[in-house]
Amino acid sequence: MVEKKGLGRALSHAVLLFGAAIVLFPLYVALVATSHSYDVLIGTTPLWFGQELIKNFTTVLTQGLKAAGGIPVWVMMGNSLIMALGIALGKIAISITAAYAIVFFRFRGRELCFVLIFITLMMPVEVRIVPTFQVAANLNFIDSYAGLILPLIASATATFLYRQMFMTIPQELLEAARIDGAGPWRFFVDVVLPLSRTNTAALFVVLFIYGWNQYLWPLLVTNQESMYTVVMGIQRMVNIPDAVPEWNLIMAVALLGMLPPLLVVLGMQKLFVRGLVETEK
Amino acid sequence: MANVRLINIDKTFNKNKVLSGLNLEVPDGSFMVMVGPSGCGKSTALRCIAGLEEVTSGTIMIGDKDVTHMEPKDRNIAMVFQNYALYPHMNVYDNITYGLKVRGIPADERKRRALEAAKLLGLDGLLERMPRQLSGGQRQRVAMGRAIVREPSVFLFDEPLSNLDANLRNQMRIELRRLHQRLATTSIYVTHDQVEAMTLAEKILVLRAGHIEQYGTPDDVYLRPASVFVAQFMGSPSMNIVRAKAEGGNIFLPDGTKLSGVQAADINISGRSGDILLGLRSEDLIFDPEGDIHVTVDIVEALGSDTLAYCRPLSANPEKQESSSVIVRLQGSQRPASGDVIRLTARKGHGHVFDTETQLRCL
Ligand SMILES: Nc1ncnc2c1ncn2[C@@H]1O[C@H](COP(=O)(O)OP(=O)(O)OP(=O)(O)O)[C@@H](O)[C@H]1O
Ligand SMILES: [Mg+2]
Repeated sequence: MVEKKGLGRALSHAVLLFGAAIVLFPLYVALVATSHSYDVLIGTTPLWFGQELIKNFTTVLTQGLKAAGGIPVWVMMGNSLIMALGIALGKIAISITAAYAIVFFRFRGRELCFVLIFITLMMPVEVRIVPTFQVAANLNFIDSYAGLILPLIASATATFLYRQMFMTIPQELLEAARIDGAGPWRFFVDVVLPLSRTNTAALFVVLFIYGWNQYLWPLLVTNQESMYTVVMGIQRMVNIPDAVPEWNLIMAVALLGMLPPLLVVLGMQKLFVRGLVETEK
Repeated sequence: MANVRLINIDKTFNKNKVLSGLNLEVPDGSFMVMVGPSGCGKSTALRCIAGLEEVTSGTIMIGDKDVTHMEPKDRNIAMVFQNYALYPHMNVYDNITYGLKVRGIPADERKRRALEAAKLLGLDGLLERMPRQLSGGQRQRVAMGRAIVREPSVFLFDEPLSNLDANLRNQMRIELRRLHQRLATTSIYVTHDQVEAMTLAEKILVLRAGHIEQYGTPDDVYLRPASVFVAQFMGSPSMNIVRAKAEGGNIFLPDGTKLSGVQAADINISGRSGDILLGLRSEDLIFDPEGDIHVTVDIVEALGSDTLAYCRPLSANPEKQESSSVIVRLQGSQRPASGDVIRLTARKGHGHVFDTETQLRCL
């Protein structure tokens, strides 16, 4: 890294602080809003804290918003967590095995399989959402965890990343393992999985956030409040007919909804950063 | 312990014939070295024996078992790769014992064998290290340890020393020899390095474009090369091959010079007359003021212990001069200058004679 001195250093700090301020300002506003009672927030945006921070957080966690069904936020967060973990782990499990097959097995139509998987990269979820909903409805997936998770579980991106990583594993390693007597399953468990550990950690973080932030699909596939996820739940709280949105509580939910992805990033940071920069070969 | 037999092995990669009709036997407990130019199929042959490639036709026997269609793990072989192929995420101990673990050998037995191999290879203090924390020579030893602990009936080596520097290579070569003396396991070893081939081998196999050019002891290959190809491939610098004529028990260079050193009788071609190819190693041309061969020195390479002189044969009649030049090995203290004319004799009894058509050795 280049060491800067004097003015240059002050300047770069100023730029960084300015950027951080821009990013953090909305969070600050949300936190301030959470600390007021709801009538203060009608028509104004206070910039300093009120008295009701703890009370508002307790309210959303234990009772939820009365007008929006009264589901405590921890239930929604639980739903979100199950969905995000299901999507992240499912995507990893499916794409790592798919990539393993594509890279290490010789079978007819191998390249075709890869091309087909690759093509789906170019298709966003929204394009296929109506037929997917039809299928999910026919399978009785509405208002179930399976419905939240399964339709989102295939990942061309992750398959592609694993494929690229597997292709850097030297052929001789596979041959050495074959001579050592390891079959395909042993080789996968003993060599391929440990070698892709850092990649998997990085991918897990990205996919967890992707799963947690799902909005459109949970909105379609859930009807009961008890199956709501946090991210879409917020939307339901804002759009209550014939009522003024309780912004103090909504902001509290938004802040709570941000917390788990943040914890995952912080918790996995060490592995995650290594996964992006280091290869252990 | 087992011998290895290849019977009529053919190997074709998408219509490209890489091995054709390989027939050979590696005796039990011997060390066989495969040499040949790049792309001649050495690695392919080794990988066929290992079972990493399926042969197109033919039979491979290890001991009295037909292993032609067996998986590598069932052939009771161990292989050492050129780039070592250590598992990067396992420490030295785990690398060495992985094959045993997969085979379900109990932990205390694994430990005993690993420690024994580590001691044999001087890896004692390194068992906890990861491969990336090892030098090239140490990695090589770990790869060797991985092969040894399996106690296989055949070792296969594919250019195992070629990634090491010259000093380490010499050292490892000696260790390999010592190891073979101790374990006496049948070994097949592929190399580019002449010195490795000559010093390690009990048998040398010279491969050329997928067929056997010669298979014999190092002495056979060096002293009685079966063809011009083998003669020029083995030995450094490669053997001088000059056109010559045999007539009445004498041998003449194309310009008519009679060679007094090389007599037809000495090299078993008394009955032959006509054009031949005469092979003379650089060390068999001796600097001699009375010599009958006159050459002009072109380039001189001083190697310390000896001097290599690249010479153009001088002829009384320059138009008839052969384009082929000869390389002469002189003593280190002899330093002719470029352009000098020097005189040489061929060492008595040290010529090789090949047929001009078939390029094969005349017996
Ligand atoms: N998997 C493969 N598919 C197609 N052709 C191959 C394959 N493996 C080897 N070949 C071809 O077979 C021939 C022999 O290759 P091989 O690797 O056995 O040579 P080698 O004698 O080991 O050479 P080197 O000394 O350079 O290692 C080469 O022409 C090579 O291109
Ligand atoms: Mg090779």
